Amino acid sequence: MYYPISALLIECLILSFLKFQDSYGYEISQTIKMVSNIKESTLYPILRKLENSGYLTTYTQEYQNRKRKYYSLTESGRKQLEFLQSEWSSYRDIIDGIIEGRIKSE
Amino acid sequence: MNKDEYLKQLERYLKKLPQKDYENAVEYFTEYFEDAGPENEQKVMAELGTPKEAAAELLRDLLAHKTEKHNDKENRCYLHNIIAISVLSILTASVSLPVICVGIAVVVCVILMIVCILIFMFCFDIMLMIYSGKMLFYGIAAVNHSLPGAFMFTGAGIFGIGCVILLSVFMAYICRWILNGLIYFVRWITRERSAAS
Repeated sequence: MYYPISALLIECLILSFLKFQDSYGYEISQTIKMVSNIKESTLYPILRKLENSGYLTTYTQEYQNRKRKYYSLTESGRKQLEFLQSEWSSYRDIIDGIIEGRIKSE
Repeated sequence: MNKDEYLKQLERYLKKLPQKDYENAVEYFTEYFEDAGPENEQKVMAELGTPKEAAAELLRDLLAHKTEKHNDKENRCYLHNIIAISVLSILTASVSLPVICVGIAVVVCVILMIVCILIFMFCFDIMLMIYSGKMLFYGIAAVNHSLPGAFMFTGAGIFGIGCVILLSVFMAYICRWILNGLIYFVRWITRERSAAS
């Protein structure tokens, strides 16, 4: 991917991904890595921050004879996600508008 | 390096974290390796970098995100802290003011002492110079009276002048050393202040 992706946008992606299903560290990180070559050492602190802010909770589940930690979205996480998605929509629309020549500052 | 070795080293560097954070981080990375599968082990390690680098990035980013969370709390407490510090300063003024005065007095005395020593050395220098010069003249003038005497006085005069030169060089070094010491001292004080803020 050519353009770098900001940590805040990554937060939005993580929360969005978890809106539709709970998931675990490796799967979340593989999804994010489709659009950013972020390192685990950077991704993990973002997950922790979301958890500390109360947007995610975690639980453990057995999988193939080992334990796996799953992340799931909380109520306040959903609210935050709405906010982040609306921010992203306006952001994306303006960028597309400028690129396609539909928008210019007055 | 294999996965277990890598994880062991990573744990060592992560030990700095508080116990809960440490456990969470280790658990995350252990699971990550397991989910990636043995076939991807080398790829994961290559992407993470050395255990030391990975741990350093982790610690740095964890700390950065932690302080973002605490920022609001700290802004609210700010006024409380100001009031507390003001009240404490007034209460302890009866002790702290004399201490500060004594401190300033000590510094001033030390400076005066250094200045006096320097003046003394300078005067001693001049006196020695005058005496040596006199002896030299006497020595040369006494060549007609007695040769040994002339030699003695001339020699003494030259010796005295040599001492004066040595002393002057010595004093120059001392002055430069004191100046450097003062500069370093001032820098140390201002560095303490800016480090505290």
